[in-house]
Amino acid sequence: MKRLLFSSIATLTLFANCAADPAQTVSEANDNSEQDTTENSGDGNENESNSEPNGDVNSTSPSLKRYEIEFRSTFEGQDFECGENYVAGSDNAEITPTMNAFYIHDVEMQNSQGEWVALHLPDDGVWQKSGIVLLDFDTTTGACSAITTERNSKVVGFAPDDTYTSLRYKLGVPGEFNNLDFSLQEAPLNVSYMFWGWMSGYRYIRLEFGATERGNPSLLHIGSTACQGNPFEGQNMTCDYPNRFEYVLNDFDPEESVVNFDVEALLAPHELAPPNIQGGLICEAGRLEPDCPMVFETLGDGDAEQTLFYLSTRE
Amino acid sequence: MLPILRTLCVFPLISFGIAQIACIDEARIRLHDASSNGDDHEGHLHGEIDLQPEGFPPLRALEDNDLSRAKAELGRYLFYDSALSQDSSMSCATCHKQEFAFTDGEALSPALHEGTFTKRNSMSLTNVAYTPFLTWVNPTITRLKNQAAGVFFGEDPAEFGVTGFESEILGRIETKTIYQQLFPPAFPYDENPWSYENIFIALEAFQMTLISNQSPYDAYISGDSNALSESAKRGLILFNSERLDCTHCHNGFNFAGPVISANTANVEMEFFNTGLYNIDGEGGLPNGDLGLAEHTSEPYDIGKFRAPTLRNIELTAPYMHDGSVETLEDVIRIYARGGRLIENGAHAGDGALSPYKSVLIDGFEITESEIEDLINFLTSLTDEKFISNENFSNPFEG
Repeated sequence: MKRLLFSSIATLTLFANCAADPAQTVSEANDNSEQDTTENSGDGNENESNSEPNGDVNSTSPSLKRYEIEFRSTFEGQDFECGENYVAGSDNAEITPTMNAFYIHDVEMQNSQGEWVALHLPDDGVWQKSGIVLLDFDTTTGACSAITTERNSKVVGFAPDDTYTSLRYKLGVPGEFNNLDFSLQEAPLNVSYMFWGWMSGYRYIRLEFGATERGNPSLLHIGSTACQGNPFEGQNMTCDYPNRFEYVLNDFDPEESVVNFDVEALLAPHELAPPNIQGGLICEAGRLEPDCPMVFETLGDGDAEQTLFYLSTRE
Repeated sequence: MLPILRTLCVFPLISFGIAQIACIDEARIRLHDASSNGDDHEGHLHGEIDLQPEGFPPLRALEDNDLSRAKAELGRYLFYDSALSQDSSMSCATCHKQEFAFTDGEALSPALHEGTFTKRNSMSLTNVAYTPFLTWVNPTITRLKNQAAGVFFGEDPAEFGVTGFESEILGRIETKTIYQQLFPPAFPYDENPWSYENIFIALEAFQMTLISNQSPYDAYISGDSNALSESAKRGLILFNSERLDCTHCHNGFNFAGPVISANTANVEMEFFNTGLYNIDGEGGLPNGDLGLAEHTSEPYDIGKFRAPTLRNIELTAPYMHDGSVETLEDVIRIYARGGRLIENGAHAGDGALSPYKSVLIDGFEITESEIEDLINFLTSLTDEKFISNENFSNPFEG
C-alpha cells in the first residue's frame, strides 16, 4: 500500500477492478473506495505502473495521505436530525427536519508553509465526483421525505502528508457541471432531489423542515440564479448570482475537527411558524424574496461574515 | 458476427446501501444474439439489445435477468399473446397498445370480467426500463417481472385471471410451436424452461427494450436546431422555467420522476399529491383511493402518485392516475390553477385546497399563447419511430 501512496490520484482512479478494458471511460471515472478504507489490506491491485510519481500533487511532499473530513449538521451543538424536534427561529417555533443536503467543491487545506493544497477527492460512484461532494443528512426517519435512505457526512480525499491548519471549500457545484442534463451525469450529480432546473442547475443547499404545531412548511433552496443562455443548444450559462460562496475555516485539524453546518444560525433570524400565512422560512435564492437577504447574510454574501459553518472538535 | 470478449463494467461498488454491482457480460449477450440469428423467424426482433441507448444513461443490470435478444423476442410474443389470460380474451397489449405508446386510450381499462375495470389508468411503457417504482404508486413493485405477476394472478380486479387455471394456461403456451422454438434459446441453461417465472422474465426483457429516444426533441437536443418549431422551443424554455417549475417532477432525459440506471447509486423515491381532488374538503379521492397511503398508512401520503414520463404524452390520453383529465390543455390549466376544481357531482371539491396537496403545486400565470407553446413542446416528445418500430409490434400480425 505504501507504493500506492506515492501514486497520483489519476492512477488511483484506475482501480475499478471489474474493468477488463481499461480504456473504458466508465471504469476510469470510478474509484473503489472500499480499497481506500482498508489501507493495510495489501490488496492485489497495486503494481509498478501505479507507483510513478505524478505532477498532480505537490512534488515537495512525496507521500499522499488519506484524509477524511467530518461534517455535521448542527443545531445548538446537537445533531440536527430527522425524527427530532427543535425549538428554533425568532418565534421559538418547534420544527422537525424533512430534507437536509448540500454540495461543496474545491476542497483545499493550508499546510505548514501557508500554501493551499488541493484535497484530491476520488470519485466513489455515490457521493463524490470530479471534486464535488454531496453531503446529505436526511434519512427516512420520522417526517424526512424518504427520497433516499442513505446519508453522507464526510469528505474523503488525498493530499500530501503534512500538517494542515486551515480548510477552505466552495458551496455548490462548479459552473461547468451546473447546467448539464443532471440525469445523464454520474452520482452524486444525477440525484433529482438536488436538481432545480436545467437553466439554474442544482440546488447547492436544500434544507426543508416543518413547524410541528401549525404545519408551516419551510424551505431553503440555494443555487445560482438569474442565469442567461440556452443550455438546450449547448450554450454556456452565465448567472448574475452564482452563489458559490467560499468558506475558510481556521484552526483546522483534519484528524480532530468537525465542520458544523449551523442550522441554528440559518434559522435564528426567521419567523418559522407565523400564525397568518402558510409558509415559514421560504427562500429560493431570489434576491427579492423577503426571507432571502437574512439567509444570504448568514451564507456570507457580499461583505457579510459567514456564520453558516464553524469548526468544533470531534467527540 | 463474432462475439467480442469484453466485459462492460458499469459500476464498481461500494457498500452504500442500495448500490448494486452491474457488470454485464456483453459477450454472453452477443452469443445469445448469435443463437437467435440462427433461425431468423419472419418478424422477430432485429438488431442487438442496446444497453446504452443514445442520449440516455446505461440500462441497469437485473440480477436474475441478463438481457438477451432471444429472451426479449420471446417476451414480445408473450406480450401479444391472449392465450395467457383465462378466457383468451386479453394480452398485455390489450391495455398497452404500441400506437398509444403502450397505453390504451381508456380512463380505466376493462378487466377480465364483464363490467370490471382496472383500478387506475394504464401506464405508458415508454422507457419503463428506467422506472424504479412501477405502477402508479406501489413502492414495493420495483421489477417488471413482479408487475407482470400482479396482472396474471391479481384478483381485484382479475385481469388475466390465471389463478385456478395455472396448468391449463401454461399448457397452452408449452404446446404452441412458436414457443417450442422461442423458449429454449431464451433460457439455454434451464432444462425445463416452462414456468411462470420465465414468462415474467421474458416479458420483463421485452419491456426493457422499449426505448423511446428519437423524438424531434431528441434531434434538437443533439444539435439539429430545426427539429423544433419556434413555438416548441419557447415551450421548452417555459417548461424549464422557475415560473412553471414543471421539471421539479418531470425532469431529466425521461421527463419523469426519479429514474434508475446503471449510474444510480441510491434509488430515489418520490410521489406527489397534485391537488386533483378534495372531496368533502378533506382531501379525499374517489372510490376511497388513498394513493401512496394505501401502502404506507401515513396520512401525509394520501393522494400521492408517481410523476410519469412525459415522453409520448401526446399519445397517452386521458391523463392522471385515473384518466380523469382528457387533454394536455386541461392538465396545464389545472396546474396553472394550483389544483382542479370540480364544481358538481359526487367528486365535487377544490383540489387546490386539499390538505394533502404538495406545496409545489401553487399555480402559475400563463397566457393562451404560452399554453400553445407548451403543448407544442410536449408533442415534440412524440417519437414516431417508437410507435412504428417493428421490434415492438405484434408478431402475430407480422
